[in-house]
Parts: sequence; structure tokens; C-alpha cells
Amino acid sequence: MKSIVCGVTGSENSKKAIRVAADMALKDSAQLTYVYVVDAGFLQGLTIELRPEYAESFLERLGGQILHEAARTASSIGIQAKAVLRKGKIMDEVSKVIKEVGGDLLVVGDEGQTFAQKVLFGKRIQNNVKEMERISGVPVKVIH
Amino acid sequence: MRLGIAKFAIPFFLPMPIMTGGMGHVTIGLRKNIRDEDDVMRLTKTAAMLSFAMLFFLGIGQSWSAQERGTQPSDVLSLTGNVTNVQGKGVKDVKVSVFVDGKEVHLADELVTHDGGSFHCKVALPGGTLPSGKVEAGFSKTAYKTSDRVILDHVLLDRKDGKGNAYYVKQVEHVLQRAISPTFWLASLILLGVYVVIAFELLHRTLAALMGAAMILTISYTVGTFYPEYHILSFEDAAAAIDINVIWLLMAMMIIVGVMKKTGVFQWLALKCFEVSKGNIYALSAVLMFITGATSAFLDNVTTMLLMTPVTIEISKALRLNPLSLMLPEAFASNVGGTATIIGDPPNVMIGSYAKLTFMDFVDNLAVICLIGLAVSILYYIWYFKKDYKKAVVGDVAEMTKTLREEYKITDPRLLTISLIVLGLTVLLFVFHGPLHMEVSVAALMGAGVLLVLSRVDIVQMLEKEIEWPTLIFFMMLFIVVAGAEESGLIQVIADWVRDMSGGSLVVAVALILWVSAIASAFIDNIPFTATMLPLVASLNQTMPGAESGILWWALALGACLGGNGTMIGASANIVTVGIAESLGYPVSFMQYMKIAWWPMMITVALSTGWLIFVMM
Repeated sequence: MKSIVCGVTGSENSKKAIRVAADMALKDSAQLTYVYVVDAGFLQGLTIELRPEYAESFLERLGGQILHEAARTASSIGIQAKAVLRKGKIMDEVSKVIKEVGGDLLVVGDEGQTFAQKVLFGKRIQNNVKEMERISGVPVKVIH
Repeated sequence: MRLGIAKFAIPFFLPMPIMTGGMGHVTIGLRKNIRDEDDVMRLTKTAAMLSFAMLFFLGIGQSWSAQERGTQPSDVLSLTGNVTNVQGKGVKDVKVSVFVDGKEVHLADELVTHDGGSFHCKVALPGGTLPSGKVEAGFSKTAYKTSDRVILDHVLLDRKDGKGNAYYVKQVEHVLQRAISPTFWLASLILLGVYVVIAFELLHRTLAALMGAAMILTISYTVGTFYPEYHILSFEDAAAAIDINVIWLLMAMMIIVGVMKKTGVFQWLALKCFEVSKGNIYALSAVLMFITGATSAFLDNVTTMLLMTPVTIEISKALRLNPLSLMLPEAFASNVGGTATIIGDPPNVMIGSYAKLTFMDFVDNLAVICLIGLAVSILYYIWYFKKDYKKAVVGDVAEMTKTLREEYKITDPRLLTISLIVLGLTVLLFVFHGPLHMEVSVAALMGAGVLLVLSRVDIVQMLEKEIEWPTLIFFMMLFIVVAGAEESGLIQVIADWVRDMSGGSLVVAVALILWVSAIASAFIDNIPFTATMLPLVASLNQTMPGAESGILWWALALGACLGGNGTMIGASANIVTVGIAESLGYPVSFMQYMKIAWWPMMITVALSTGWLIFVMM
């Protein structure tokens, strides 16, 4: 591995993924990039519909904190990780970052099913991995 | 009120349209052929001669008509009446036909009932026809059964004039029965289609409602023009169905909230809750719920939650507490608080406007039960999350507060002062809008206007960014779709079914409306649901003994607003809370949410049942 991209949230599994990605980067001497994507699309399905920017500012702030903690975790084992914060649809933005940094592996924590999937389609995480691999064009490692 | 004029009057008017048409033709000729002064003079003379000719024929026509009428005394029947449905509500646009001795009297203008079901016409009959002649009336309207002719016996002689004309009067009251017509099925299908499309998010909800409204009107004015049984709703009725009071109230409140959120007051409030609780997690949960509920009673739940949750998450992280244990009770409280006032939740806005209920009506009837519900919810959630709360690590509260205070402070004290004063005055107007006979939206519009002037906020930016136009258009279109269902008789059929189910018992009807609304609102959007229920409850209010007190409105308000607490999709505030939590790595499943929120929802609805039956009845 030359470049590992790790998508982060504040979940426990994401924290494990942050650590696993850092360990892999150390082992392979790979470049490590943590990505947090602000996706406030959930505001657009409401009856009283709101624009994403209403939630984006504070999600940016809290996402920044998550990235800061991730970088600190990597730093604790001697890895200087890059932290990237983006706005938009999660997988689209993560894919863009993978292309930008020449990533060859995506590491993510098991977030369970997404909100819409849970409510509407009941998709399992395994299907989601295939979808993530298709969109990102690189192998995806999900940490449980 | 439209007046029908009998065919005997037609010859008197006949010359007019013919001559008007002739003049129109000459006028066109004038415009085409003016080339020189002679032409102008010649054409002016021609026009003058034609005008004289027209006046001459008019005079002859009038003279002839007067002579004809003068030589043949008439019996003039003045017919007035009301057409109602079985619930006693006037039915407009019913076609009324008059028959004399079995033959239909052809009226120059179609005679139809007006608002409230009333009609009036004067029918001129040959002298001596009345009172012995058999006069009948027929009533017909799409979505209603065409009635048998009603015999108008006992026609009363009012007076006779010097020319031998006799004037008779007759009053008719008629009840029309509903019929299952093509419009019934069409309107039902369209309403159901809109529901399904919204529920499964096949289209944007505004587009779904817009398509529904457009289909109703297009069918009415294409197929319905040739086959009246397909005419669902007139354009005028569609326009009248849009409750502008609701639209203006929502719009004005969006402006007020839009200005207020620039001040940072919501975040500051959440932080104050932390300071006040002094590190006591139970107190923090209770204060957060209370403040969220109180704020949601006056401002919209979604914005309240959107602005309170970031601080809640930061406080939770500082306390090493699962943020869901504070956020989900907050969302619950926002829905309970929003139930207390007419402006707290969109269903209440719709109910208040439709039923002409005032701000104080809502406060008088719902505030106490909402406070009780909120108190019980606080106790429930403290009990439910006690294990999580015990795990919290309370460090140096003063230090934590200091850090958070830097981030979540009042950003514009001047704007906040102005906003609070204007909001206070607006609420004061809300309190008095009933005695002032002022629609509640007027108070909100005044508040929004004054706030915009004093805050010097860019009006264009506010209108573009803070007013959720898709939402307002969604409401407008939804009103039209529901009006189509009401006009076609669907709502009436459901209302009759509810009345039959209740066996005429008001207690059963209250419980039925409350619980059906609550369960339905937990799973489907409570706004289309409430829009559909409005005419239904209005119908029940007219037929159910004791319902005239308006208790069914309160059952609907409590059910539609509190029921939304049951699931994560039941209310917008829940979706926002879950969405934010998930974005930050705290996902909650549909079933997990139900496990947390379903039973307290049931408890609050059960309390509301007791409140309505044992306190308000």
C-alpha cells in the first residue's frame, strides 16, 4: 500500500478504523489521509424543508474535531496523517479524495446501515461495501 | 346569489347581441380603410346612421316587448331555497331545474346554488298557471345522487299588480344524498397517489402535491368539461381551498426564526442549561427538555433542534456521555412543547386556521396537558437513561463551560434584544388576535415586518434563504388535493364511517380521532394527514352530539402532534436529530428509536385521552 484513505465519523467503529489505518500506514510506510464529509442532505427530506447550510457550519466544526483526534491518534504512533474535510455526498467526496491522493485502499468503520437504508430499504452493510468499491474504484476495508 | 331569468324574457334581449355584433364589424372596417379625410367623413356618417338605426330597433324592441308583456298577464314565481347534505352543510354549485306541469322551464342563466347552498330565482309563467299548476324542482350535482323532482305545492300568492300580474313565493329546503361517482374514485386515487409518492419519496413532496393538484384541475377542465361527472373541482374552489392564513403564518414565523438564529440564542440557551444544572446530569436532562419544549411552543421544532443539538453533542462529549441520551429526549420534548400552541407545530397552524380557533383557545385547552406530558416525559427519560447518566464523567464544570462559552455565545446582542422585544410583542398580538377578530397570520406578519425593519437584515436575502418556498407551495398544493377529495365525497364517506364506528358516542369518537391520528402520525407525514382530517372532523362536529364544543379538534391536534414522537420518521425534529447524530457517528436504528420513544409517546397520548374525556368533556 502506498496511500491509505480513511473515512471517519465519531463512532466507536470509526475510532477503531482510525487506529487500524494508522497501523497499516506504519507497516507499509504508506501515506495516510483521514477524510470527514459534511453531508447535511438529511435536511432535504423534511416537511418543513431546510437547506443543508443550516447544519453544515456546526457539522464542519464537529467534523474538524473528529479529524483532529484522528490525526492525534496517528501521530501517537509516529504517522503524520493528512486531514481533509469536504462537503457533499459522502461517497462522492471520498472518491474524489482517493483520486486526488492516489489512494489504493479505503478504510472505514462499520456505521451500520445508513438512515435512509434502514428506514426504506433495509440494505445490509455487505451490499454497501460493494457499492463503495464500485464508486471509489479501490478495495474497501470495513472495521467492525 | 345567482338569479335565473325565465325564457319569456329572452326576446326582449335578443336584438342587443345582434346589433353589438354589427357594430363590431363596422369598427374593424373603420380601422382598415382610413386613408384620407373623405374616407373618414364617409365612414363617420355611416357609423352615425348605424347607431341611429340601432337605437331605433332597440326602441321598437322595447316597445314590442312591453306591449307583449302588457297584453299577457304573467304569474311570477319567486323561488328561494337551500340545498344541504345529510350533515346539514350547504352544498354549492347544485344545478336547480324548475318544471311546470311536467315540462322543464328553460332559464336564460343556469340556476345553481351559491355558497351555503342557497339559491333564488324568479320564474315568469303564463297567467293562470298558478296556483293550480304542478310546479316541481330538480336538484343535481356531480358526486351527489340526482334527486327525484320535489313537488312545490302550497305556492303562496304574495301580491297582484295593476296589470294583472300575480306574484307567488315558495321556499324549498332539500337534502342531497352523496353518490359514488367517477370523481370520487379519481379524487381518491389522486390523494392516495400523492400519499404513496410522498411516503416512498418517489418524487419530492412538493412536486407530488403539485402534480396531484394539477391532475385534479386538468381532469376537471378536460374530460370534466364534456362529462360533468368527471368535474372534480372548479378553479375558483381550488383557489379558495388554499388557506392563505396558514401560508402567511408559516412564512412570517420562518422570517422571525431566520433573524433570531443569527443571534446565537439557541446555542446559548443550551449552554445555559448546562451551567444551571451544575454538573448534575439528571438536572441537565430535565432542564434541556424543558427549555427545548418551551422554545418549541413558540418557534419551530426543527430549527430549535437543529440549533440546540450541536451544543448538546459537545456537552455530551465533554461528559463522556452518549449524546443520544440527551438528544432523543430533547427531540421528544420539542414535539410535546410544539403541541401547546397554535404556532408550535404545522398541524396546529392548519387546525387553528381551519376551525377559526385562537391562540388562547390552544393555550387554554392544550397547554396544561402538554406541561403534564412534558413533566412525565422528563421523568420517564431520566428513568430510561439512568444507567447512561450514571456513567457520565463530570469534570471541572466551570472549565468546560468556559471553553464552550467561547464557541457558543450571543453573537449579536443588539439583534437579540430587538428580536426578543418583537417576538414578545408578536406573542402579545397572538394572545389578543381573537378578541381583535384578527387572523393569527396578521400578528406574525406584523412581527416579521417590524423585525426586518429594525434588524436591517437584507430583505432579499431573507426571502431567498430563510423562507422555505417549497414547503409553502407544498401546503398550497396539498390544500387543493384535499379539497378535491372533499368535493368528491371521499372525506364524507370516511367521516360517516368514523361516526358509525363510534356508534354516535362522543367519547368513542374522541378516542378514535386521537389514537388513529397518533398512530398514523408516527408513520406517515402528519401534515397531509391533518389536511385530510380537517374536513372530516368538521363534518363530525356537525353531526356528533356534543362535538360542537370543538373537542374533536383538540383530539386531532394532540394525536397528530404527539403521535409524531413514536418513530424516527414521525416528526421532522426526530429526523433532524437522528441525521445529526448519525453524521457524527452516533447512528440509531429505526427499532432502537421506537424502543426509546414509542412508550413515552403512548403514555402522553393516554394522558391526553384522559384529559379530553375526564377534564374537557
